[in-house]
Amino acid sequence: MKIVAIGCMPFDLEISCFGTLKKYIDNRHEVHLIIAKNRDNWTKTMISGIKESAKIVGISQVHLTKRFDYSAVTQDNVNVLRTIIEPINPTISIIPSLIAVNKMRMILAKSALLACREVRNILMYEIDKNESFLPSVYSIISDEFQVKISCLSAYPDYNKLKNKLQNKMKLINGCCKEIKSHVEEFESHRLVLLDRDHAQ
Amino acid sequence: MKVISIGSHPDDVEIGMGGTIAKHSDKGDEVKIIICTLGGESGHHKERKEEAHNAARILGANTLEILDYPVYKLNNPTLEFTNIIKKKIEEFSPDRIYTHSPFDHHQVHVGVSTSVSKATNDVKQVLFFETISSTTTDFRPNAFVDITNHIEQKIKSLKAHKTQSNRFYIQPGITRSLANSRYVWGKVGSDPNGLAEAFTIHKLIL
Repeated sequence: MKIVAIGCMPFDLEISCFGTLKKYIDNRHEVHLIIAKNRDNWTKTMISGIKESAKIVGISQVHLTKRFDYSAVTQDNVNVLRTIIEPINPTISIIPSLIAVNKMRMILAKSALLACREVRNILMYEIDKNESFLPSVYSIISDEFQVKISCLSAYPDYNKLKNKLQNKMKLINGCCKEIKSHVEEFESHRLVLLDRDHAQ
Repeated sequence: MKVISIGSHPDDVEIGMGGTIAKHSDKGDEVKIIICTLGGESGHHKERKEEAHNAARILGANTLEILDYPVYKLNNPTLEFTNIIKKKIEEFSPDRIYTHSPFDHHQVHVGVSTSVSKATNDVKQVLFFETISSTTTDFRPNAFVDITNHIEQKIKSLKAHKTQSNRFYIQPGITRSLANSRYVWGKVGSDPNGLAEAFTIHKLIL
């Protein structure tokens, strides 16, 4: 399978879904990251952080968009994403939540959803505390959790990010009584089961 | 993969996910159907049992169990019924359970959905199917199964419920129409004649 994960800021994907992506990599699936970069003045440290953390989990395909307009959902934005996604032809896309608290993530989510029209399986993540976000898909990442944390060491503000991640894990584990191990949580926008059932 | 589908009445499972049952069977999965009740005293219990067995056979289900639980006790979820379902789940140890959506006008469907949800703490995957006769517009599907190649089995299994043949919602035209809408709506594929069944994920642990 080919999996595409789309994020708008450095470390978004590390916090939301790197454990799940590591599981896909370990099962020999092909994983691509798309970071919708909106400006040219990203520091070299930020860019190298993304690439370095991806390398830690074994992702070699990192796509940085040249431009993305975070002021609105535009056809240009959709096209920017589509030109990357279409040649990959992924089975699963992991995108931010359509109801993300953060406006940039929300605009990216809506653009990504339009760009992923041909993608059969779409999962959505949320980084911030959001009571409207109601996950029902959980990925157990007990074995991948340490790798997930170590990915954040690729960024200069490692300690701050580590705290953010640990707080998020506390929140998830507190919310879902049935799951006692470390998990990443997603809302399903759509999943097609039983054909190439990744839920099996 | 081991799968249980739990419906309130005979024909609910076929209406909601007959194509999906047929697809599971084709894949070699072990499928069990549980029917909770045969309805009120005035129903055709003997005929409905026979029809349910015929329908399950058409879909290729491995087992059909009819609990014949008193229908009036299903109007509200009870601990007694939840424990019965829990026991059935422990005996079969399924990987995935399907049942009614809680967004349903029919109080028995809601009662069964609630009881099953409570009984499935240890099951990794629980999905809700829709019953076109009574599911409400609050049912928001986020999982789909392509049943384009299994629609004939679904229609045949619905026809096996002869005592229900006058119900408009089990007519082949309606079954196909809903399935086509779900396929297109769910962006399951690009075949204009594609057909799908729709589900809401209650819980899917990967």
